[in-house]
Order: sequence, then C-alpha cells, then structure tokens
Amino acid sequence: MPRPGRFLALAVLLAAATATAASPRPKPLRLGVVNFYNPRLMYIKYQPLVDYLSRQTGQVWELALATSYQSTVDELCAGRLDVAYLGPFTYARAHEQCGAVPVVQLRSRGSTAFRSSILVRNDSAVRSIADLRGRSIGFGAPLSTSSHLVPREMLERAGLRPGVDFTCRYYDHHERAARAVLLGDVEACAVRDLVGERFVQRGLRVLAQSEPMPNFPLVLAPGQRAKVRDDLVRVLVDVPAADAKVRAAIAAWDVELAGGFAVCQDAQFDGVRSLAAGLFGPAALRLPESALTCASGEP
Amino acid sequence: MLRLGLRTKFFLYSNSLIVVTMALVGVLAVVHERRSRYDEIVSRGTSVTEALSIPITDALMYEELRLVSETGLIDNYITEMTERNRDLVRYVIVADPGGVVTHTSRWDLAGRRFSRALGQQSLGRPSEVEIRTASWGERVLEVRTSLNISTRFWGSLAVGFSLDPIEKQVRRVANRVALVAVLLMLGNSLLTMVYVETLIRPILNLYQTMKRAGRGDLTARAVFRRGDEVGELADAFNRMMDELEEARDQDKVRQAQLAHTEKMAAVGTLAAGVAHEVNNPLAGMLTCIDAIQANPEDVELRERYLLLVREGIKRIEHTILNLLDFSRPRPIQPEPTSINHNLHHVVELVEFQLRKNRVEVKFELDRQEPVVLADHFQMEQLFLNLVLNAIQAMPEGGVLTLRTWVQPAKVVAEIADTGAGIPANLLDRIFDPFFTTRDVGKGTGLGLSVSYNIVAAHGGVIAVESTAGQGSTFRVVLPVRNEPVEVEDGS
Repeated sequence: MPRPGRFLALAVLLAAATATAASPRPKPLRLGVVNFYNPRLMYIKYQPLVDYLSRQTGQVWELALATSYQSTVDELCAGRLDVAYLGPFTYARAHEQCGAVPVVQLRSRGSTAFRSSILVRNDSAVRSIADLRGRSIGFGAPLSTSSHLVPREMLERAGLRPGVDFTCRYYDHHERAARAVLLGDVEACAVRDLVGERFVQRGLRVLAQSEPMPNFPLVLAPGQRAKVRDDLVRVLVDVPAADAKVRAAIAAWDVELAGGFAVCQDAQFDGVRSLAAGLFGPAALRLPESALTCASGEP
Repeated sequence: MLRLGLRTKFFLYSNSLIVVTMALVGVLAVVHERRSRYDEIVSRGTSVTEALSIPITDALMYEELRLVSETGLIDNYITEMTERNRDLVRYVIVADPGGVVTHTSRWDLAGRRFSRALGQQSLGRPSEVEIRTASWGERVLEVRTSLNISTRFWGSLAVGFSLDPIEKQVRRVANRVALVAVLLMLGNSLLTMVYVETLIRPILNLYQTMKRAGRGDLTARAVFRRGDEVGELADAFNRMMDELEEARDQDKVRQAQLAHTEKMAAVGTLAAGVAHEVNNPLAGMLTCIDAIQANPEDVELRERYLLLVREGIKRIEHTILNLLDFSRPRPIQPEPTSINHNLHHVVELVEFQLRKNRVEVKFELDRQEPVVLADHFQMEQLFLNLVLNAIQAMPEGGVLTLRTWVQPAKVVAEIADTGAGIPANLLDRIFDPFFTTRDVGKGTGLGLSVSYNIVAAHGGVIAVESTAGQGSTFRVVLPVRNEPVEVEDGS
C-alpha cells in the first residue's frame, strides 16, 4: 500500500523541476516586418499573426518592426530577427546577402501571386502608361517590389525613361504615395494591388496592372533551427488545411494575411531577380538603396 | 337621448382633457428633449473633436519631424472614430494650415480647399460649432478645432455630427407621449364606461322616476341609495315627493270639504223651493183635513179628501227625496253619464228659483245623447252650480239656454244666461276659491272653483265668455273617455 508521503515528495520534486526548467525565460522568436504602415497599424495588422504563432508553436513570438527595408534585411542576416516578412525584391537581396531562405508565402485572396497597380486620379486625363510622359509619379520605397521595382519595369517597357520622361517621388509607403495622388502632389502612383483597390474607393483609377509576381515570403534567418521552419510550415500551412476553425480565425485577419500561407521555394523568386537585373544591372541585388532611385527622384 | 348625451359629453370632456394635457406635455417634452439632445450632441461632438485633435496633431508633428511615419494612422483614427460613433459622425476633415484637405472620411474632398478650415488666427479660441446643411441634405452639427500645440499650428480638424438622433429621439418621445395619451384615453374610456355607468345609471333612474312623477304618479320614488350628491338629490326628490303626496292628500280632503260646503250651500239655495213645494201640498192637506173634520159623516168626501192628502204627502216625499238624494254623500263612481239627462234633472231641482226669477229655460240639446264616462252626481253638482249661477245673474228675469253637442271624442255643454255679464277685469278670477261679487252671506264664493275642479278632475276644460249687459256663457268641454278616471270625491 503506497504511503501518501512518497507521493507528496514526488509532487514537490516534479514541481521544482518544472519551475527550474521555466525559470530562464526563453528568448522570444522575433518576426521582423518592415513598417509598411504606421507602427500602430502594423500592430493592428500583424499582432494576430504573432499571437497565433505563439499559441500554435508553444514558443513566444514577438513582432519586431523595422523602419526600412534594408535594415530588416540587415537585422535578419545578423540573426537579430529569426524570421522576416519581406517583399520579393528585398527577399532576393537578403538571400544574396546572407543566404536567407523563404519558408512560406502569402496567399492573399487565395493566390500566391500579386500585382502592381499604377493609379491616377479619377478625373485625370491620363488614359495609358504612355500618357504619363512628362508627369510626376509617386513610388513607395526604392526597395519595394510592387511600389517601385515592378512599376519601373512597366514604365521602362512603355518607353518612359525615369528622370527624363517622368519625375519620381518617393513616399516610403504605398499609402502615402496613393494619398499624394489624391492630394495632387503627383499625377500617378504605383502601389500593390490591395492598396490600389482601397484607393479606387477613394477617388483613384487603375491605369495599368503588372504581370503576377510571387507573393511576400516569410524568410528564415540563416542558421535558424530547422524546427522553426517546420513549425512555420506546420502551423501556417498544415494546421489551417486540417482545421476549419483555424482557417476561419485566419480569415478574420487583415486582408493581406487572411488568405493564409503556402509553402514556397527560392526558385519562385528568380523572375524578380531577372527583372531587377534588367532594370539595375547584374549587381541589382547588391546595390545600395540610394543607387536604385530615379536620377531626378527625391527620396 | 339623455343617456347618450351625458355619456358622450363625459367621454368628450375627459378625453379632450387628456388630449390637451398630453399635447401640452408632448410639446414640453419635445422642446426639452430637443434642447437637451442638442446640448448633448454639442458637448459630445466638441469633446470627441477636441480629443481626436490630440493624436492627429501628434501624428502630424511626428511625421513632420520624420520620427514616425503617419502612413495610414490618421486615416485609422478617422475610421475608428467614425465607426465607434457611427450613430453620430458623418464626416471628418483634416486640413493643412493652408486649408487644403489632407485626410478625410470623404475622399472626394481630398486635395481640395476646405473653405471653413480654421487658420492660424483661430488659435486660442474655443472650438467653432455650427449647424449646417450637408451637401446630401442632412442637417449636421460641425465642430471645428485647430490642430496646434501652443502657437505651433498644423491645420484644423472639422467633424460633422448628425442631428438625426435628435429628431429620432424627439420622434421617439413624441410617439411615447402619443402612446401614453392613447393608453390614457383607453384607460379613461374604460374607467368612464364603468364610472359613468355607476354615476349615470342612478341619474337616469332618477330621471325616469321624475318623468313618472311629472305624469302625475305621486308614488314615484328613487329607489337607490348613494352617499354622494346624486344620492342626496335622490333623497331630496323622495322627500319632495313625500311632501307632494301629503299635500295632495290634504288637498283632496280640502277639495272634498270645499265641494261639500258648496253642495250644502246649494241645498240651502234649494231649500226655499223645497219649502214652497212642501208648503203648497201642506196647505191643500190642511184644507182637506179641515173639510173632513167639518163633515165627519160624509164618507164619500172623507175618502176623496184622504186620497188628496195622500197625494200631497207623496208629493212632499218626492221633493224631500230629491233633495236628500242630492245632498247625500256618496262614493265616486265613474259611469256612462248622459249630460242631457243631468241638465234636465238640474232644471227640475231649480224649478222654484226659475219661477221666482221669471227665467225662461231653453233647451238646445244634441239629440245624439252626449255621454261621458263620469261620476253622475258630480256632473249634476257641476251643472247645478252653473245653472244657479246663471239664475242668480238674472234677478230681473231672462233666458237660460242649455246647449249640448258632440264633437269628435268630446262633449260640449253650454250654460248661457242673459244677465248683466261679468266685468272683463274679473274674468281671470272667477274660478278662484272664495271669489264672489255678491254680498257677504249670499254666496260661498266656492261654486265656480268647485266646478273648475270637477271639470279638471275629469280631464276637461271650463271657460267663460261674457259681454257686459248681454250675459255670460259657460262652456264645459269633457272628453269622452272609456277608461275610468280618478275623480275627486265630491261627496
């Protein structure tokens, strides 16, 4: 017949062991995101994703907001970020810089592709990209794929030379570029499709749209444990596929994230690499940000 | 008629009172509600606008300093604020120091000049509040405040608040008041139905009783008992009816006494004639007795004279019986009575007076034998009074004309004399009790008064026409009634 004293001692031991194991607070995993928006909005949009990761992986995740594309890449490569949410062009540069690899990519509205939109005011006389000759165009950040790289290629393909046939203005953020058109600062802007749609409701008109581009990837820092990678695939792809409740929860997130994620490979971004090389030369992925701006563009 | 009238009046009155009161309450409530809601919106709008101006100012300041990108933040503020105050906020406009719209919930305004934007000169002033009609027709309260820290100015913020909630609330209050009014009126109608029934039923009851009393039923009494004014009214009515009945009983007795007195007076008048009627046979009888005593042996004479005495006694007996018959009190008994017969009998009673006054009698009677349902002896007394009156009006002789004729449902009898007539100024008073033109002791003054009562008791009318120096005509109109009438006990 077991004596109660033994059980008590065992329980105390177990409790102590658990306490010791938990006592050094584990370093949270940091998900780096460029400030596409004001920090407050960043938290509103991305905190649900981070909370979900923490809940599902059993590890603490935190959102690390960065002020620029390049600093996000630098932080990731330095290992100060475990995972980063990057644009395709920025990802290609991170891969080039330190061998970071993509794990999953966004499936905005069910598609792993997205497009760039060039917009003008509803009342604008501009009817085609060619009509933009001699006009001012607002872009986001120079390292932005959809708000700079892709539209620059569209303009170039239409025969418009930056600084000659059109002037560039950089607004750092898609929203600000679009607003600049509304406010009359510039005559056109280039933003990603989702942002463009928001501004179509506010008085802008889509002038042109790009070919589909691979959607934003979550990029693993070089040297990061395989477990994190597996965790990400499991909780962002496998779990939602199996669990309708989780799918429903994810569908309530911000429209960019609401479509969930899909597994992706580095090779999917080769198109972006060649596009950048076509625009900026073979060293496009290593050029400093300032070297990518229009000749006459003001940062 | 009365029932509906009273109830309708009560309904109308009380419900009108409710309508007027509730309309007043409604107007006051609406005015109060409108004012307090307006104050509330002004105060809420001002505080919301001024509160919103702080983070917007911060965002603009950080943006300017390139500390934190505003990107989407102000829009987010605007969206969140608009959504949290969805019931009230209609638009939000942020304008730069030059008055150009930079952020707004109405994107059609972006980049345009906002004419009402505040300028630098507005610093230090309280927020502007203005009621205006928006381009889509809605009345809005616009609150404008400057975006500044101390005297550093970043532009202005204008927020439009819908005034709809005021009207909605006012309508709600008005509806509520109307609902209460309707409920009150329903309740009042129910209550009135119950109360009016309990209040009006006794009144109607009393009214019916009074109507019965008005038709002459002095036994009519209100039968309910209540502690309120209606009860008091019923009690007062009952007391009055008691008194009326008592007075009627006394009046009956008085009438009876009057009638009897008058009858006895008539008997007195007739007494002279009776004495004459009795005296004549008595004188004859005395002569016979004297003759019998003077010739005791004359059997044939005795037998003849005793027959004469017997005849005289019979005559006296007839006369006495006639008088007794007239003066004897007897119970009232309505029966078909022939007016012609009455008149003949009366003339028979006054034969002596006619002769004495040398009055000639003319009968102009309807051959149809006018018959009325009446007490025979009262009719006799009525006509005796009128005939005696006529004879007395002709002390120097004249003609007494007795006429009767039949009209549909009526019998008319006229007693006309050729006497001195009645002065016009006395005509109104001749039917009053104790009114007489004769010397004291020569009449009771009751004759015509009693006649009037008898005619009235039979539902008839008596009237007089008189021409001074030519005589008077009394006309009695009696209904031919089949049902028995309540007639005064004329004894």
